[in-house]
Amino acid sequence: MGRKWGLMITIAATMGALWGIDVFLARTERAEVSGEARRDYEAGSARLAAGHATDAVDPLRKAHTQDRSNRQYTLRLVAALVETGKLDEAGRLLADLLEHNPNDGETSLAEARLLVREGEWENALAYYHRAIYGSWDSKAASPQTTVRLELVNVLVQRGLQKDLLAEVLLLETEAAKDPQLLRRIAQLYLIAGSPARAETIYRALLHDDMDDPGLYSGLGDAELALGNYRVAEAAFQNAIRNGAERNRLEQRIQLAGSVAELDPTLRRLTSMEKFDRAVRILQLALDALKQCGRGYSAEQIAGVEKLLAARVRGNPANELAEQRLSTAEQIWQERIDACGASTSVEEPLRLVMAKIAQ
Amino acid sequence: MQTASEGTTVRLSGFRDREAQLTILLSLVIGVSVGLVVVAFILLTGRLAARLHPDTGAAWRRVVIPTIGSLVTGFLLVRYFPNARGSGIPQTKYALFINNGYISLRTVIGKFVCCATSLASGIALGREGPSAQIGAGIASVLGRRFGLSTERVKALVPVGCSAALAAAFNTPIAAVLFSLEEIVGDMHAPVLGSVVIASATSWMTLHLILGDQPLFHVPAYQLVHPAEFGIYAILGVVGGLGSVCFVKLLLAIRARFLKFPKSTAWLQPSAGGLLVGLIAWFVPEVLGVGYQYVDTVLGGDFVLKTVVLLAILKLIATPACYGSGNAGGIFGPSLFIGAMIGGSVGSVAHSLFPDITANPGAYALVGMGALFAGIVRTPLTSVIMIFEMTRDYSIIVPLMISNLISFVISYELQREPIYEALALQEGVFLPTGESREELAGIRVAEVMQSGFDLLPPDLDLGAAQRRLQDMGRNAWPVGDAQHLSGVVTAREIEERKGTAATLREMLGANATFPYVHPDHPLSLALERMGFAAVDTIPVVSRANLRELCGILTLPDVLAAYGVHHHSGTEGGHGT
Repeated sequence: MGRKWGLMITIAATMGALWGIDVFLARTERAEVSGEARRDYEAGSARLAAGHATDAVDPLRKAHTQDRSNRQYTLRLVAALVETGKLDEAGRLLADLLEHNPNDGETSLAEARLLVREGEWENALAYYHRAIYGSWDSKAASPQTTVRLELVNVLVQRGLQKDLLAEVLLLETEAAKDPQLLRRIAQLYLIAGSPARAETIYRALLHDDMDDPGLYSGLGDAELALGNYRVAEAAFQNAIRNGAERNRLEQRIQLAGSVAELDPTLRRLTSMEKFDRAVRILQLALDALKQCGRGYSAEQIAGVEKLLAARVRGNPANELAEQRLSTAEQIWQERIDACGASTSVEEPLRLVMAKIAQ
Repeated sequence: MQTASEGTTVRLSGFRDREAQLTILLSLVIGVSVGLVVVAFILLTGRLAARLHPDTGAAWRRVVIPTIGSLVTGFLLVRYFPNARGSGIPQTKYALFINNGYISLRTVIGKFVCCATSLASGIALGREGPSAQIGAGIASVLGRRFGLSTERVKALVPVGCSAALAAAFNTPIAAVLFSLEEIVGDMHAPVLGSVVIASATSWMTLHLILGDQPLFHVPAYQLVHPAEFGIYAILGVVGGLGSVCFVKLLLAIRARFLKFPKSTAWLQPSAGGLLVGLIAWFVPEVLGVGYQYVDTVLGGDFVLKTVVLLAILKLIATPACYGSGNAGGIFGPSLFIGAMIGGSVGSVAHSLFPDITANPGAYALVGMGALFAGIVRTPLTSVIMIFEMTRDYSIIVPLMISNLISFVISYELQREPIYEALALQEGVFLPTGESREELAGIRVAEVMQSGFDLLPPDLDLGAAQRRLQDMGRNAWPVGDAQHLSGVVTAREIEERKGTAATLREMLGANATFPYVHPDHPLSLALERMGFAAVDTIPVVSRANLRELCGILTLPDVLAAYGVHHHSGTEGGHGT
């Protein structure tokens, strides 16, 4: 019996010793492996930051292999893989991460970026939203606004104005009183086709800082889009006075002037002036269509040219001006449908058309 | 009042119960101990390897270190641990079937030291086979130290083996299956409970220390198109052919080395070490087990040329290392080669039919199973093992297709399984699964005798003793044509001479006796004869235990198994 107890004590002691050895070895291994992984991660991250994504993949992959539990390593590897076009592998890694934690904001953001690269826009937008409303490490600064700004940039690229406006409205509520962000929001409102909101923000910002040339410049653009061409001109002038880049703003002033001279919606215009402006607008629209080279048949163009050439005696009736403006709108729409967005040369016409459409 | 035979039965039954309880308790102890030792083995080997030949190390180190490592191993094997050579699986089977479950503590220590040395130095062999022998050895040592009977110690061998494989592969179910399918050769073995307990305990120990890290990290796969089954079938064919090449090359190299003088045995492993080193000079991935490259290939990120090259080089390096007498297993290398072959087939298929094929990593995974099934010849274990590694049900059907084809091709082109063939080269005849099945298939009815005389119940004990001596048996049934009264043994007659006059008196009214039924397998008859220490056992009807159908004698059983029976060794413990 005593022998059996002795044997049991020996076994227990051996097992205890083995446990100690195992724990020591496991800790040593973990420390060494995580040290190696950290070094590889840092090397890979540095290469990625320097724009050498191809060189970054190997060390980042090693870091990931050595410490798969580290989400940061995986996400950085994903970033490198996306940069180098290895989208399949990046997708698999992200799928694993999302399976583990579907609500993770950072992983959702990486997935959204991957989907943008793959051209899956709708899914990408969904993942951007998951990133915005997902969970983030408490250590990191609140990234929702940054993510939303990234989403907004995607929407700008895709020309999705309605979605863009919705996101910018949310962005404005999140922005609090950050002037830099408000300035960007104002720009985005302009892109989203909401110049009135942009104007409000610019004016509010100018209330706090009346010497900022950028704000005057932005306000000028907003007023230009709103059709307040003279006000826009004045804003651009203020920007120049406060030290803004002269060349660009002079072009904007010139544009504002050109558009102001074209604007047929001014109330004080005589019927002759309105008719003249309508004819000029029609001519510009026809020129734009011809430049595009698609949309209208030769017969239709000949019809428009005939309309342009038609002489009017005395004070023309308002209907004649409206007829030309209506034709100009149709031609402009054809031009947009056939050849896409307007060119810089066509900017005055675009602005006038936007004003007429209001 | 209790009769002597009843007393013996009770004592035996009590002893059996205690042994059974102790076996269960020991299974737990074995699970924990083996788990701890295997974890230490894995960690030690991995850390040493990382220090001896780091990725950024000079090329000369990759040549020198395996060579020195194999020289040291060779010396240790010849001088101190002759039984620690090779994979560990044939040695474990030898211990189980031939050596009464005996594996010495020296062999366990030797296996640990020699394999840690050789694997850490970069020898292209695996750690799982040696782990199995270490586990079986620990079980054997513990069983003996606790004073278990030989049969119980034998039963603990697969228990230790299963515990070791559960920790080494991180696949507890596959470990149980392997122990039953390959080591014991019987999926319904009575040790199943102990094997499961030890496997689970060992696996839990592994998880407590190393956490929930699978051996391989496998992305989720799916079958892209039904046509993929055809490609998986092709992979099965390639895997089967690869398995045959591997096995034949390994056996040929081992046979060649066995012909060299014994005095060179310590030097022989260095030939394998040097070859691996020279290959590693150019292709470092061939060193060691190479699981990190398997992981990369499973991720689907590889170049076709590289994986083909690695498959070929490993197919040469591993047989060379094993054949030259290094210590290490072939499980790991077979998985490595399988992954490379699978990756190659998958890569070609994916480049030809990108729209209907999965990522090549999926083929690498199935390739691992196919090579394992072809080389180790355990198709069920390989399916479950890969399933446990991936935890992905969708891979099961392609895996079964490939495994089966690989297994069949391997079986057709290389009949003898690798472990049995290796043992045969050393002059040891291990029973193959087939032969065991054949033997298990023999029924008592095919061998039993009829047309014999029973001992009459009224026969006095002296006459009965003489009759037994005349027949040359130590036991014989008592009764008449209508009623079997029991079985008497020469020992019981001797003990009861003074207290009973006739056999009827001696046996009493409800005497218990050993028996078998005509449909029982011969192995069970042998087991019962051994347990009751009789050389003759009655064969009785299932409907009525007192209705005698025939008798079975030990010479009849041995003759059925094809064993010549010497009358001189015949006795009560002959089984």
